[in-house]
Amino acid sequence: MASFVDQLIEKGTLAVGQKAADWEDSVRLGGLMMVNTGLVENRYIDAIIENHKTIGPYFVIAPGIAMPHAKPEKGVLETGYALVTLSEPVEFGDEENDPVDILIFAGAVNQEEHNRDVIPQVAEICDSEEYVEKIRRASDVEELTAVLLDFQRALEAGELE
Amino acid sequence: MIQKEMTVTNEEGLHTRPANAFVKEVKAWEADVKLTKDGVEVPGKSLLKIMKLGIVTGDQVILTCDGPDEEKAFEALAALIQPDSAA
Repeated sequence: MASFVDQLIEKGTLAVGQKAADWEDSVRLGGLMMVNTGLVENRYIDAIIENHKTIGPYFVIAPGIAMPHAKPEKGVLETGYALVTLSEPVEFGDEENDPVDILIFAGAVNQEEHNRDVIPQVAEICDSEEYVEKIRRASDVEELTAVLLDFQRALEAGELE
Repeated sequence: MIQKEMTVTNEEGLHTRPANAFVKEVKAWEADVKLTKDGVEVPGKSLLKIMKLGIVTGDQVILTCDGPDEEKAFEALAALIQPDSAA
């Protein structure tokens, strides 16, 4: 399976310094990239928003970082990702980790792939303060791409904790 | 200290939402909690580190609780890993 970074670059589901009115707007924004590249159906994005409204901010996983996702059966067509950074952070209603300015979207075709491959890859980059800071500071997609490739290199070289 | 190996029977494994619930439970107790899979041990209060373990249903994990309330903490946390065996 293609890595998280290869997938993002291949699909081009990257957006930097976006403006979002609120958390829902930010989820729609990244979700649209996944719909447009054929990774998920529209209803997957609706499911993420609905879940957040019913069960709360379960996908805000670290300070400033959200990982919007829902269950595979909610309309995932192909396992993939999208990464969006915001120019102004938005509140998701998570006391510990608000406000959020990095969104890493994920969709997996089944639960096992979601748990075993997708989640660890996203968690890996979120757990590196150095790379999170670089993602935050990237001023355009080209710079963000370079940061992601450098992260992948560091990961493979065993330079990360 | 209480330490026990167990099979994950939580149908969803320990992905974001169940892992989040696990971390919240860990923080409710005084005991120091650790979770181990395939020889990799992570602190029970770190959501990201638990997510990195990529735990799916059927995996073997070791739950370790160490502290004054370790027995109750262990019971509560084991119930999240094996919900069907909860009393």
